[in-house]
Amino acid sequence: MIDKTFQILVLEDNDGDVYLLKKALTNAGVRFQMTVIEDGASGLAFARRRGEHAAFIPDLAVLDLNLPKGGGLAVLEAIRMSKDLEHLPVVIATSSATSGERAAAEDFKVAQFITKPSALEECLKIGATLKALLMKP
Amino acid sequence: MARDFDFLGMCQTIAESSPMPMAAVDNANLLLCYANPAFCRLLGKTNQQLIGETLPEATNDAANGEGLQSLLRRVFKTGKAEIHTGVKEEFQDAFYWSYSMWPIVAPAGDIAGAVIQVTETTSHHNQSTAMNQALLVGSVLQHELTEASEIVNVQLRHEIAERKRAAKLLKESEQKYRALFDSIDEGFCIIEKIEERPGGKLDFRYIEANQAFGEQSGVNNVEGKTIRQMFPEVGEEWCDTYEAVLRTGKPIRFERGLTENGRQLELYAFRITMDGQIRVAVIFKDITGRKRSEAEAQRNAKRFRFLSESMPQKIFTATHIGDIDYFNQLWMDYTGATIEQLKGSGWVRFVHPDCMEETVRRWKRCVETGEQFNLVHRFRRADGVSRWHLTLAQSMRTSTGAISMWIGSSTDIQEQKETEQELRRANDDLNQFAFAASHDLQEPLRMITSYSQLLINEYGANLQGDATMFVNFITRGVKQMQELLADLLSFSEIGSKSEESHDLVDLNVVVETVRRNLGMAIEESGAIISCAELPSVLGHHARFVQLFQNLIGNGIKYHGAQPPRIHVSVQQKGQEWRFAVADNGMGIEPEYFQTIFGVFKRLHGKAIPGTGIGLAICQRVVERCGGRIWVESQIGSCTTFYFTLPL
Repeated sequence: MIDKTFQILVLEDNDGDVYLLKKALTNAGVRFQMTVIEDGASGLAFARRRGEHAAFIPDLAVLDLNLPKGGGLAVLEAIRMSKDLEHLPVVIATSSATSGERAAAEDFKVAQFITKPSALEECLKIGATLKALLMKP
Repeated sequence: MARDFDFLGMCQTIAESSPMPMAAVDNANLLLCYANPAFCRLLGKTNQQLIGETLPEATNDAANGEGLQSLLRRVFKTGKAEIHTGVKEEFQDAFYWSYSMWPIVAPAGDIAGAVIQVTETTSHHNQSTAMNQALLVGSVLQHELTEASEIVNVQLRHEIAERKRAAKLLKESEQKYRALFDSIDEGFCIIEKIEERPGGKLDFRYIEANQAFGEQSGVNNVEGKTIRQMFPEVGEEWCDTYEAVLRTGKPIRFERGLTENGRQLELYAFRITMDGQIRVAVIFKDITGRKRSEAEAQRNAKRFRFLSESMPQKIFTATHIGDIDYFNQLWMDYTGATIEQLKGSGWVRFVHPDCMEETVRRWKRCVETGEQFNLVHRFRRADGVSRWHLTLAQSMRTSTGAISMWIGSSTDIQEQKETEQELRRANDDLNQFAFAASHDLQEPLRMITSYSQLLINEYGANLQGDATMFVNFITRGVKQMQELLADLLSFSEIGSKSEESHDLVDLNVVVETVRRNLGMAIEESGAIISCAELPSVLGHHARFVQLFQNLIGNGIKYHGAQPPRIHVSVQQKGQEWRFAVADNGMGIEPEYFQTIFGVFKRLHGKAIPGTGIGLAICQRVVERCGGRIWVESQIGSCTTFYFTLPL
């Protein structure tokens, strides 16, 4: 067991996915506190260090690309522009993405690009992937 | 009679009266025994003074004395006469003497003495010297004369050479003139006016005519004949013209038809002075061919005008340097301008400002290079509305390859352009819709799948009856829908804006990728896949993988009783490659040859899985590359999919 409680930011509007992500992390044995932002505008506010989460510096961010009020790519770009967050490990988790979106995301140095699997088993494996990223020195 | 003659007395008389100095020397003592008066005068002495002197004493000639004495002795000894010439110098003058001595033979035969005759030869000698000097002077003079004459000779020779050269030049000039006269391919003749007799008609006689005269006019052997004789029909008119040239001295260029043989001639007549006579020279050529071409060109121009005026397009022509010199009526109707306002580069004002720069730049480039002008641009209509036109212009070239003119057309494509834009918009919307639909639909499906499984995993034990089976149906249905959506997404992405740039793709590598991707299906079905050497083509690797994977995959999937055998081959046909993917499968009914390429079109039930998008994807990949795809098949034995790709 890891003693540390990790702070995880999730940019996701689908509470079903949020639940599955929590389950995956728990199954992987990660202790965490999850902050969920449900739309692009709030995500941008966080990245630009404004509003409710202005001072929040998570250990890992999981971003969906398709969100209400703006896309995840814009949030990712803003994160990389922020002094506080420029080195924040970011994982993109999306149900489907065009090759263009994928290339753009990779330009902003994402730690992992995950296409959300439909099989439950695959879904739960994401927990192990995120754990590995969190354990990185 | 002779015996009675006193011979001695006669001799004495001769000697005494002779003007020649004579004396006699006695043999006994070599002393003078006689001297005639001439001798005494010569020596300036009296007879008494001279008698008894030796000859050298008498003559006071020491220089010759001894010589004279020995000469006398030789006369006495030999009995033969002797002559001696000597020179005596007195007071810087030299006197020349000649002594002749001959013996006096006594009756007994012995030599009693000798007679000496003295002759002064100074004047003779001087004459001789003078003559010699004269000869010398003469020879010097002769030498000088020779030299002088040599100079004269040289000048003469030079003058002769000059004259020869002048004559040669004249000859050469004449030859050149003659050669020119005969070699120019234009007809040339010199004519002189025939003196008019009262009541006679004006006429000219041919003095000279060159070889081309006959070729150009069709009339031969004119020299010596008159114009009226040779050209009875047109002669009068010509004579009037030549008369005018003769009178005014102004050259005249004119064209005439020969009624004699139908030829058209172009003539140039000018006045010349030849051998002191004023004459007319005429140079001319047969322009029948040119006239015919001109007439033909005029007819063609009329036809072109008629054609261009009756066409629905705007037609124009331009000179070789790109100045527009003709617009058909449609241009004037469309722009509301006059032809004068449009001509040259006036038309540019009617090009929409957004297209003006490119239009002018492209037109200039085409005029410089001769390449076809091809541009879609807008022209302003009389009412101020600009409409899209497709303008094409082609250069016309002469037989030597030089651009002679341009012919162009501008077609109003406003409606096509609008339709095309609408179509593109609709297509973009459709693609966007397909993408969004397939993309956004994935999300709820994933939820259905994940939570169905979670339901079974966590509450499976509590589910009763057919509940587990129902959940499985839900999961399977969702999986199928996900596949459909994935294919639809892929289909909508083919040829999208992100794929506009193409790379050179090695299709052998593509087929190898497909073999790997289909590895499991190949193994399970025991399929044999063979492939000829394939070329590299422009496109996207991933799209070609989709193309070959769908075609080869279909061959495996829809196999017959035998294990699938699939062969990929290619042939070059003109400017494209023609590929064939042939299988030994179950075949396709001909009525489905078209429909199978539609989206979601399937010929088989659930027994053979598939989304019905595979061939639609193939068609889209091929068409986006500029190719075509079709199928040939025989039910129960084989199917071959053909497609083409540009070289």
